[in-house]
Amino acid sequence: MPDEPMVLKGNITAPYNWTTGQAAGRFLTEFKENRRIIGAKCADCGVVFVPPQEFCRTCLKMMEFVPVSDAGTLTGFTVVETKPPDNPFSLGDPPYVIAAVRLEGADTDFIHLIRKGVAPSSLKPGMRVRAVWKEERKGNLLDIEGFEPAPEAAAVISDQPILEPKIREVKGKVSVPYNWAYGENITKFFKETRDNKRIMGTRCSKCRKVLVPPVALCGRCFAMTEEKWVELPDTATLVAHTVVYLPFPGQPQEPPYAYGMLRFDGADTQFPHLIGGIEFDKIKCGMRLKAVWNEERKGDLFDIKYFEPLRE
Amino acid sequence: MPRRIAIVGSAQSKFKSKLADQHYGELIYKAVMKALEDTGIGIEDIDTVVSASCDMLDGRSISNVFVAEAMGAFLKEETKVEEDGSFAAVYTFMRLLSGAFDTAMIVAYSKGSESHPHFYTGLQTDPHFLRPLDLDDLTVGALQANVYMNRYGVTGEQCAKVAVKNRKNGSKNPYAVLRKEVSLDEVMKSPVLASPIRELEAYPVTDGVCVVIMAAEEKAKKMTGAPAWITGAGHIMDGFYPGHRDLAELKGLRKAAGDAYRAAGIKNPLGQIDVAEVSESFAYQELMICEALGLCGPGEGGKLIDGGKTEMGGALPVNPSGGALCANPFMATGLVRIAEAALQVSGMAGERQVPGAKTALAHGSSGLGLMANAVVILSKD
Amino acid sequence: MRRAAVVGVGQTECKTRNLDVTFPGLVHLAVTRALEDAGLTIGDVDAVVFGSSPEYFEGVNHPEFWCGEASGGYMKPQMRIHTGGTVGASTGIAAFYHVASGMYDTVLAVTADKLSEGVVQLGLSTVYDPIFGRQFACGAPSAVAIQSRWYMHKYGATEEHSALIAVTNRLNAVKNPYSHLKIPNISVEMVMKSPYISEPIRLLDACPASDGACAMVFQEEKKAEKTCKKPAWVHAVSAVAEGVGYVDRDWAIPLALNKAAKKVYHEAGIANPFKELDVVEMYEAFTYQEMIWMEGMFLCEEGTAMKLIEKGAHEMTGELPINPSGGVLSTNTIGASAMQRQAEAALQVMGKAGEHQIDGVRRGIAHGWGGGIQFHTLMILGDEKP
Repeated sequence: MPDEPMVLKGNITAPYNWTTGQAAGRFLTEFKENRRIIGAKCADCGVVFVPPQEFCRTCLKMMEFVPVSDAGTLTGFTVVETKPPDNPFSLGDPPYVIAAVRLEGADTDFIHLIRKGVAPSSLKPGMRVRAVWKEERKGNLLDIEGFEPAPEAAAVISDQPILEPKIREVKGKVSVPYNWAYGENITKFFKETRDNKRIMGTRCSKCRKVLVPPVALCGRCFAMTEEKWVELPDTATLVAHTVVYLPFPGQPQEPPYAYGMLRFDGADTQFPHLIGGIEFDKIKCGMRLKAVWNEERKGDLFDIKYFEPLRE
Repeated sequence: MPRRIAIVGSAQSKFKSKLADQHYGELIYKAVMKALEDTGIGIEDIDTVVSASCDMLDGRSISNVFVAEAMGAFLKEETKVEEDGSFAAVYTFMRLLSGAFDTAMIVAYSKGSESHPHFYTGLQTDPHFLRPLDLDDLTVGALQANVYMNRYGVTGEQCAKVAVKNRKNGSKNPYAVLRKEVSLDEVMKSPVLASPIRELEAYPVTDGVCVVIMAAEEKAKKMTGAPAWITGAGHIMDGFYPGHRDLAELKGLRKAAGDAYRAAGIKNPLGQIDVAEVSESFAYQELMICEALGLCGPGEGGKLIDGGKTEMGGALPVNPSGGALCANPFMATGLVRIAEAALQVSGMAGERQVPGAKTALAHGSSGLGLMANAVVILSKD
Repeated sequence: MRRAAVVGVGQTECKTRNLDVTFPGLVHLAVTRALEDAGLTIGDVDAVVFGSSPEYFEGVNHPEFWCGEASGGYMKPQMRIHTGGTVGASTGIAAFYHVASGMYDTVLAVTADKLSEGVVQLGLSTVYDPIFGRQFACGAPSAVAIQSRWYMHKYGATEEHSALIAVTNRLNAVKNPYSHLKIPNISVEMVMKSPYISEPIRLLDACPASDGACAMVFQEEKKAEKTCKKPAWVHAVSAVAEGVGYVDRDWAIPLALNKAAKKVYHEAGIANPFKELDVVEMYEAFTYQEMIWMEGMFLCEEGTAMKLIEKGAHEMTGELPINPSGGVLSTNTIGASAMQRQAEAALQVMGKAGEHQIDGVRRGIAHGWGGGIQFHTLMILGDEKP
């Protein structure tokens, strides 16, 4: 009977401070302060890009920033009916409409939303639309609520000078959930640690060495390990270690803490784990260690709390 | 070209929407071992390994770290192209052309089910202009489909026909995730995900691996009696911001195909190519891709599918494997197309074989709305 | 094989936070400088290779697209290489193969990272296996601390040796206009008094995290000779992988580097690298690694690098200067770091390294390191055609 598969659920969440640079910096500053949309124009080819880029993609020369109208024509749109998974940029419940708009004064399409409340059935490519600005603006793309049909909208392009980029960076976050599958061998390994406090390894069919974690492939030989498992004691030798002092946001352990690469007795590979029950300065390469098991075990690396010196 | 290079073997895992019982490393070495075994060679016969995978998909940064051994890359010349596998194949082709290596293995994989396509594709957006709209491949694709269909009057039914055709083909592909035929009515009645794209016009989340083995002439001839010679390759990146591109035209793909055709001496693709495998994540994309490949004029993709030319038995069957609509393992999709195209010209495509196929085209794509594209031409002679 | 040479190099000044430009902006800056250095325009470029490190650094997946136009890759063949710390070198090597294949004559390689956008050690911790080890990872420092401890225990290297390496690199960095961390009054005592970040690695044993980019233009023989009076010819390249958890792994012996070194020395006809090479640019993100890599690339016998360090062989005036640029220890963008090694070795060969030029360099070697202490790259550049 193969063991039922186990999966490690986790996520990677990281904060960011995205630099806006000259183009997005001006664009967002103008959004916030002047309710104005700006683009960029290449002196050579004359094409006006909205949103602006700093340089021309064809000749790589720096571009000049130019204002465009906040009204134009609808190039195309999609009515989004499925909600993307939760994430820091979620727009809420569908339906909502993503649109491409050719603003007056621009030679490219601006991607944005159609304002909530506008019936998608009333939208036709080629129709005239205008941006609906929010009263309270933060210097974000969503300072425009969305575009709405506006048959009479005039193309007003204010020619007052474009502001320097006052918004220099934008804070944000990325958060991605993962389900990392253990696969057959690691499932068995963690069922053994969880249920029997037992360390199990595999043996390479070619070099006969023992691998813990018990992978099914000996990478050095590119050969499968044998089907028969090897039981090992929960004692080990410390090969090398560190004491971590450096803190950083999102760190899974609070420093200072000690961990190292250790070799289970009978194994030919190294295994990472925490070292505890000893003062940091007494930890030495080559010292003998024993696993300290957690009372509550869930079938992961922390079925073992840490390794402490073996008192022989 | 300084020397001739061929595809001499390949392997695909049986693609599934979720392979929760398999560690990704296991998936990889099983496919690698199968590719070696089927080609009748050992890992020692491989000079260099090139992989295609993605950190954010794997949830493991520098995604080749923990699978170098599974790929048989231990103490080998190794590198990673973080694009669709077709780009890795093009780079591997260059490595062999240079004369530095005689044999190479390309490994492309992902487990889409361990994350979510929204994150893999949505996080490709820039932080300022696109990210706040929570876009992803579906919504950018839907916008593109809308612009394309409006421009040329391509209908929803014509797009749906691509799904019907590819699902029918996929039913004969033992590696496909989706192996059940669907009717035009079923496609047209399936729920809209983002207009105009319907559920049955979208790819399934896919876990799996594709491995391709390439060799230079002398070795290729020893390894197989039916090498698939690479006669042309091209890859081109278009503009990043979707609004800065003409969404209705795949200008970059047209150029990439032109580069590949020039090398392969193809002047009339519809007449000279016998079969094409393309990466259509959504049904409408196959029509746009066919246009950019020059199989029909701009805007004539709808008529092309109506005429049946791209069906099995047509003048130029497109996606006998069922394409990405039947299995879309990110990073591997384009390499699967190359593997399938090679099987076609080697006459080893089983139930999905196009009889007498001599010249095949494979297309891979990376980026939102088919932004970057690679084309490889394979030939029996 | 078709000959290829480096005909232009562009670097940005590297710093902790560059608030003037975005990530693509950095890429654009390096690209335009490399083209200017080569006297070419983007229209002369046939293909582009882009490289950067983990996407979690900037929070943008497939950054080759966001940075695509900046890389000069718009409507051109462009692809991204990503191999971790070695990526800069892997990208340069990819550009070399692009040219050597005969498919393209002029190829632009550009690499960058803007580490200040995110939390670099958090990004690096995601390199560790989520099932076995990410639970107590502290970015690159903790893994390399274990490697350093391993080496010290095995051969008896001390914290003084590491401090000597820190001093040399940091003094060299003062002369490099593009380097990040410059400490002109550095001393062994100052290094040894700096706090541990991950024992035995102290703050001054470690690299900074930098915003920066580097670009190089590679050309085939005939064009290279037209473009550049003194190009840096590529004599040999190699990029070799090890595994991570393989049996009997010894972190003090980089098998991949051993293998890569044998290949490039063989191809370049080098019998005694210590004598025959004129300059080394290596990827030591932490001081102890300089000794491990010296041995790994056979500049000396196993366990004897500390003797060379003691006598100052690695200094600007020594027998074999290592990292006249200040090395990765002084500037670490991660994405561009391994390419900066190639670029600096090329500048030395071309005689354009400015204040940190070593006299009479004929042949230099550039090294890259990355992954789970498992990927190594080498490139030998010379002033004569290979």
